[in-house]
Amino acid sequence: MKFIIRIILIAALTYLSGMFLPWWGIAIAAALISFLLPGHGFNVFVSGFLGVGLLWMAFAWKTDIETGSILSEKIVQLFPVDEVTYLILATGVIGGLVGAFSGLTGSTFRQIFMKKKQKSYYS
Amino acid sequence: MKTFRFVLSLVITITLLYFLNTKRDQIPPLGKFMDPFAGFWQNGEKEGLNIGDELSLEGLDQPVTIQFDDIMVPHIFAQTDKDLFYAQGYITAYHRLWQMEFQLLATEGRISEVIGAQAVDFDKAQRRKGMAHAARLSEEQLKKDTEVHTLVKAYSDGINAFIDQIGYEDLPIEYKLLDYSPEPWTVYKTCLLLKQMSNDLSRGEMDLENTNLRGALGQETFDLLFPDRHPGIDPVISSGTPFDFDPLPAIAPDTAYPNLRIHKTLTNPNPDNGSNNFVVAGSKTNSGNPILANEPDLGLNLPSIWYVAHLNSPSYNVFGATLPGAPFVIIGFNDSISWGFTNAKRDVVDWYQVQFRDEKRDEYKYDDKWLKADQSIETIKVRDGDDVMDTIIFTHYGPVSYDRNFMGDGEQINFAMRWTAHDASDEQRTFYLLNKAKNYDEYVEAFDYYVGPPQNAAFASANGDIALWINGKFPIKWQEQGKFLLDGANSQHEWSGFIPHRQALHELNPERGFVSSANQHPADSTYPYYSYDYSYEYYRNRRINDRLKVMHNIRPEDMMTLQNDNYDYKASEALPMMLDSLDTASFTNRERVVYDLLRDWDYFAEPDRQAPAYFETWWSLLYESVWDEFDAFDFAHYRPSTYNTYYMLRNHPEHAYMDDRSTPVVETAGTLYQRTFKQTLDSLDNWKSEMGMNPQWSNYKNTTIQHLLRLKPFTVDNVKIGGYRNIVNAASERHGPSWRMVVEMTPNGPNAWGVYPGSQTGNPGHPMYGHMIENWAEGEYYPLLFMSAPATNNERILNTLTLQPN
Repeated sequence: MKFIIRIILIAALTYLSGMFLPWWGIAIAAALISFLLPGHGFNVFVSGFLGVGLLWMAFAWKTDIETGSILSEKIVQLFPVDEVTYLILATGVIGGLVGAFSGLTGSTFRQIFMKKKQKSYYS
Repeated sequence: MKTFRFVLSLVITITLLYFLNTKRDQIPPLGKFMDPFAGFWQNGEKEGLNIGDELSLEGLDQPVTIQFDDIMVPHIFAQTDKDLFYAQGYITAYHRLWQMEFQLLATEGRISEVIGAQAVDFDKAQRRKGMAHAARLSEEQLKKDTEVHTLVKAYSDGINAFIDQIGYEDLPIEYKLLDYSPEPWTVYKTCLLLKQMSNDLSRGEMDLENTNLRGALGQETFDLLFPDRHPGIDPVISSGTPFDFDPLPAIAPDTAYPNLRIHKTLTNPNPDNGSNNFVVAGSKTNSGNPILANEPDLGLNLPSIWYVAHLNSPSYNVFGATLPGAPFVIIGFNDSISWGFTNAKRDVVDWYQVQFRDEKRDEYKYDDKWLKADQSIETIKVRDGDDVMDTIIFTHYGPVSYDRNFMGDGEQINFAMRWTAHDASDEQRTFYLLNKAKNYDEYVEAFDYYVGPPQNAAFASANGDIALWINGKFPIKWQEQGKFLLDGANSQHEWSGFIPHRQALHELNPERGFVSSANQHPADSTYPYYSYDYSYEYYRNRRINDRLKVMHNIRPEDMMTLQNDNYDYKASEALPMMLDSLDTASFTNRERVVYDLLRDWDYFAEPDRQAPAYFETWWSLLYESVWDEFDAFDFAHYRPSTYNTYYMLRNHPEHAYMDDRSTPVVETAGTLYQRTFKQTLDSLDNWKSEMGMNPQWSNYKNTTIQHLLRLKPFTVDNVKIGGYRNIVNAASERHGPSWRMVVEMTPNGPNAWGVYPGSQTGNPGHPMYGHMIENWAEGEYYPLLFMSAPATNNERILNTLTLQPN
């Protein structure tokens, strides 16, 4: 459940950052949510990947449909792939990778903090 | 352990962010570029205008209405001139920002900043032409002309209003691919843009090549192979026009020219940069109104060199082609007059050999004195590399472009460039006046301020006048002055002055009922001033004039037909001579088929014919084998013109140059025809098997409208168009009609048509990108919507945008 909520929140904050911040805002979004909702390394990694990746992919896909692939069909010729679908997937993967690692960073940072807190609580 | 995990993932994240935010070689910064919120995805556009219907802008005095028609021409209606040109700048930037800035960076010699070390030599060459210095002088001059300066400044403010308003997501796609941002526009940049037009149109010369060739060939052979003119030329100003003025004198000194061998020279502008214009008087037209036609033939690029606009204010109502980066209309019409340009070729660049006093190069010899030289230290910033420094010495002639640091391979090679475009000039005033000129006198007066690039300015007015003036600043030269390298230490080699504008070549309402120009010789040999160019046109001019002489009851459609005329004059003269010399008795079947194809050809280079492909290939193989001797020259040179090649083949078929030096036998023209005919067949057979199609002319020549970054997906190739260089429809591989315009001047206002190979939008992500290319290729035109107030109910107006003062 926490996994799903984390994905949704990362996606939501990624969307907001897309409105107001340069592209690297997604790293802040994923790190912040993972800091607030830390978890097991793999879980956080995957939720960062999916939260940002799926949103980027969906948004690229939506933009592409709205503009009838007018530009993506040209851009794709500049890349070593030959279908717009791959360009949309690549967008998702790039966003996803940033989301995954920055999510992990946020979560591991929180864990340092938590451990210190626990120690101080028991001692 | 936990700290280590955090540090590790932090390092990976930062590395990844850095990597995805940085451009590497040809790869854009992928994170930034692919971001669906701001990256390239945002450059895909929907049909029509995607800017809203109302914008609030700083710097406007009154609201401005801009209506866009179905080909996205902006019809700008402003209440003051300042607002008008502000809006012109704003809307031009909206459609063409990247192009106008990139062209400027190229002119300034700053391309290395954007694409890296590979452009350093290009940038050095650009800076060594002295255009930046000239633009600064022109800006100073413009500042004194306050009325015009205010408008140029308003245009610049309009561009900046657009730049200030946009974020990364709105940047043109090219900025995102190359990963850089626009800089503010300035009046200086507009001045520099006009110098760039001179660079494209008036910098062509062969002075150093001529010096080499005369030294190597001897005067007699040089004159035979590179004559200044041929008998029977058809000049711009019709033969027989009296020149009833007292020419200012130019006396040739009795001194020798420097004689040197030069190995490398600056690249000339493309000699295919040419144009056609022609105007017929009411006496020759169906309606009784004069009709003007013009098309500048320039490099075919996307975004297009021209941006069409309609400018309206209480003092202006003018329509036509504008240059992105400069205010006013350059080629166009208002309700009283219309005008169009072709390049008036004439050597306005001369080279002077400079003798420095010593290694320090701060003084140079001038008669018996030493004059002080200035230095300009240029810093070329290089992307992902160290700055490159270059020192340019300036003499009173101009920059010492060739020296020990650039293209000079000896201490003797110090050549200073004297170019009319180096002088301060105020061309903006010409367009400021011309755009609102009401009649012939005002048109003539507008060019009093015009320096260059020199243009054949055709004119028609609603009251029935037709005219053509050859405008520009032309030095008075003695016979052959500046055709060869000159001696910078000898004051007698200097230009002694300039031809006064009122002595410029012109024609007003000539008896033949038309005026025309196509980059040919300006006048016949009775013109008292010396004029020279290495590449005058011999074909398009004759075709146009031949046609106009016999045409009557001309309608605008007939002018369009003539603009799109594909008659190959060169083939009509050369091909019968070539075919006659073949030994038809010994033909193989394959040879017979091609021979018949060429014999039956009517010389029209239509896109679906095969004969032009055979003829052009044959001609170029023949040309190569006639002038093969030139391949052995290890110095800078060029080869005789197409027309002179034909002339030599016809009149000197046994000349020593006809011999192919790679064979033991002595060839004459006859042997060359036979051999190159066979080679043509082989060459075309190869082409056919390689391409898997027949050599239909348009496929074979492959006219390509290329994106300025040469990106294939943003380029339109294999355009189905006929014509070629030396043909009126001058669409060659990469050059051609860049704006075709036909205007009938009626007493009730102009009727006008136009088309160009591109689109108003420069965005490859807009559905209309390049949309006019097909109609352009087919010779179809768009009616140009000329109105004096915003339309309230016109089905061609698709969007209305209001700019509100903030």
